[in-house]
Amino acid sequence: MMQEQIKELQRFKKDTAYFEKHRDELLGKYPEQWVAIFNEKVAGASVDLEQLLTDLEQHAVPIEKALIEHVSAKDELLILPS
Amino acid sequence: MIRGDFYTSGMTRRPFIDAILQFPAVSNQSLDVKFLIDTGADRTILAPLDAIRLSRRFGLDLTTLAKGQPTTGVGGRTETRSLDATLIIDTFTTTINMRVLEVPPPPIPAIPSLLGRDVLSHFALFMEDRTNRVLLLEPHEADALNLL
Repeated sequence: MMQEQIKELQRFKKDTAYFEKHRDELLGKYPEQWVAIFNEKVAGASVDLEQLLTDLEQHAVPIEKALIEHVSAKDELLILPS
Repeated sequence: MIRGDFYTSGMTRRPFIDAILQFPAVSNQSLDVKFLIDTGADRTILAPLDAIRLSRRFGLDLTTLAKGQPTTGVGGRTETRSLDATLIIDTFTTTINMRVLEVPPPPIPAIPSLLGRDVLSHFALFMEDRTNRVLLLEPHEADALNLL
């Protein structure tokens, strides 16, 4: 079981690395949208998060494993609740 | 030693670490989460985006969870729910009682989930923008540095 989780984490890390590497390209293509990455590919994009999740489900993309990011050029200061 | 990374969030580079959460409340189903490392957060917090993924995928009604302590920050006070989880980062595993931020009406804020001091306290955190290093050192690794 632990081996499966480690393998899944390694897969997810590749998706986060893919997003970082292609961020500028994604920003040009999907500005101010939610973008899903799964297995180092863009699995979907939408301005509406719920719509994106519906699209992913319809295409059998596991939303619990996909990386979902909001692609934005806005530079917001993050001071988060704790 | 566990490695994180600086990733771009908005237009700013911030320290993140990838992890898996397993939830006993949904038969130990798991959720992959990209956590922002936040030494100012007392507890690990699940952001609305990840809460929606969890709720939608596994049919967990977040409103049925016990209320947690409200979170308070510069931006104000937010209600939370309390949820037990097992957190897995590489070979490190721990059980936590995390806080789930209440999901506001759309638009959903694009804020990340936070890895707080309830987890970070297991490690010595080394972070350096210059070399892009984000390292979580285990106690014996930190002790070997002989830092005073």
